[in-house]
Amino acid sequence: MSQHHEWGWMVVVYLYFGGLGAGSVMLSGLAHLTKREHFRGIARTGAIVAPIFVGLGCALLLFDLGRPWQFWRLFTHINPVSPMSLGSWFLVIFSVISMVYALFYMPPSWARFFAKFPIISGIFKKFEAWNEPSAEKDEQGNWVKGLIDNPFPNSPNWVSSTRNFLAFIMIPLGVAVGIYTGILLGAIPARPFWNTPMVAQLFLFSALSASTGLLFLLVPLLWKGSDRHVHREHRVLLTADLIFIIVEFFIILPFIIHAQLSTHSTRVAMEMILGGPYTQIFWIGVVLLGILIPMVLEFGDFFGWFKVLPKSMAKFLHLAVAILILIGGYLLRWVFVHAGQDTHFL
Amino acid sequence: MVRYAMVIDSEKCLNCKACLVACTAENKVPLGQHRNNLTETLIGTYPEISMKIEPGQCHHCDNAPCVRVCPTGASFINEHGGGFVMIDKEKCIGCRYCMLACPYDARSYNEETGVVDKCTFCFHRLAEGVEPACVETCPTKVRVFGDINESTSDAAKLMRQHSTEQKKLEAGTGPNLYYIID
Repeated sequence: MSQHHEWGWMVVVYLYFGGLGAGSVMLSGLAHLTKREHFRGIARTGAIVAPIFVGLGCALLLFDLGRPWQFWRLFTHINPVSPMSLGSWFLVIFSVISMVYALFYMPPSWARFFAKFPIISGIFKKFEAWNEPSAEKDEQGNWVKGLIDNPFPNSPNWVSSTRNFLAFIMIPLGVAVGIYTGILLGAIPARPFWNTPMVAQLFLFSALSASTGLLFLLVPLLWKGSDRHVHREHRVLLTADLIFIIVEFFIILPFIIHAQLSTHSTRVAMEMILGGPYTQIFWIGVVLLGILIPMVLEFGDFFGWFKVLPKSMAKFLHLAVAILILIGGYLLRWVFVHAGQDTHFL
Repeated sequence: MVRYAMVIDSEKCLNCKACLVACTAENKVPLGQHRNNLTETLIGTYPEISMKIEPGQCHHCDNAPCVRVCPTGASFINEHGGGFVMIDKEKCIGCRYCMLACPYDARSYNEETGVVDKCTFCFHRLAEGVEPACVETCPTKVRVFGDINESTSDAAKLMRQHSTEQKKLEAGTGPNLYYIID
């Protein structure tokens, strides 16, 4: 940690925000394409936060450049073997399409706000109508039980098809952005800590995991449904995270085993987290707090052990899981960016 | 094809640092930055001890990782001018990806201009038929610069007379600095 690092906190936060945006939109797309009636909160929240997080991340990336106002040069030259060159194109395509997708999932109240401005007024008035969700309460004001067939009854057919298509296309775009952040680091032999094929997968699944935490916190704010509805969305997020986090754990394990069986450079590089300066933050922050504790709690929740607890206690544990996976995702990127820059090809 | 390279005899190095000064003066390298360096390694334990001194700089790789990762084409190989790895400072946006990609840590970053800098093998002097500044100034002739594809050049002759090694060849870079090892 003594050495000066060329890539600092701005790159770490960009990798984190980029991952959160990519993961959220993948979850949104999956929720939309599979059970959009059940998981309306996830579909809407994921669609809305994706361009915001990726946009913030890109802004940081821009200001980390030595000459930020020359950034356009990224788009006048394509180097197909540079992950950064391809990645910047992915980011632009992702941002544009995810913004369009977000429009199709924007809450009608937001569309009403934007409709106040001239020029864009017309189009937002349309979105206000199209995005009106089907009622969850009947005429007596009781929550509708059972399934809601069509979540957007006011959308004409072509609008629904467009929305479906956008949800579908956002999944591969999310994979591209999520995986690219890992390839960016993995593509250079000079930094043996990064130069393994597992970093890309690790970052992708960590992004998905952290996104479940993000959506867990934001869904109740962006979708005012019944308690039962929100509870169902929370349960499915935690169950999905259980899968992501197990995959993540079984990427970290071979990442370390593989390194022990690899070249001298890689073995020395891995000492960064096996006794070196990043050991504690990696094992306590990333593995214990970010993976193992959430994994145990999610297992418990999945098998219904939380039912014996008082309701407030169970709620607190749910919230703790969401926050822990968000912290773990950030620390993972922090450790990778910094530890990698301390390693050298020997 | 012309392929410029440098043959280095570290044994002759006195650690006088004239090469660092000459480079800085010639190329107006800002204070705190260097295009070349000298590494000192202690061998053995006191009193059986010696110090190995080794000059280092950009290796002007055939398969340069800095060029491969550069997103704007600012880092490039001057294919027809001797195979130098060069930086077009107009095109550099200062992302520093190349600095991380270089296994030799041969690049430096100028905080003020926001651009990455490195050794050019004194490309501008070559056009006038003069050797690079560090080569010219070296009192013990540690460095010999020349076209290794031209059998009569001093560099090519040295490479025939001695065994040489290239650094970190396993990184797949194809470096063009040859260190005499016998």
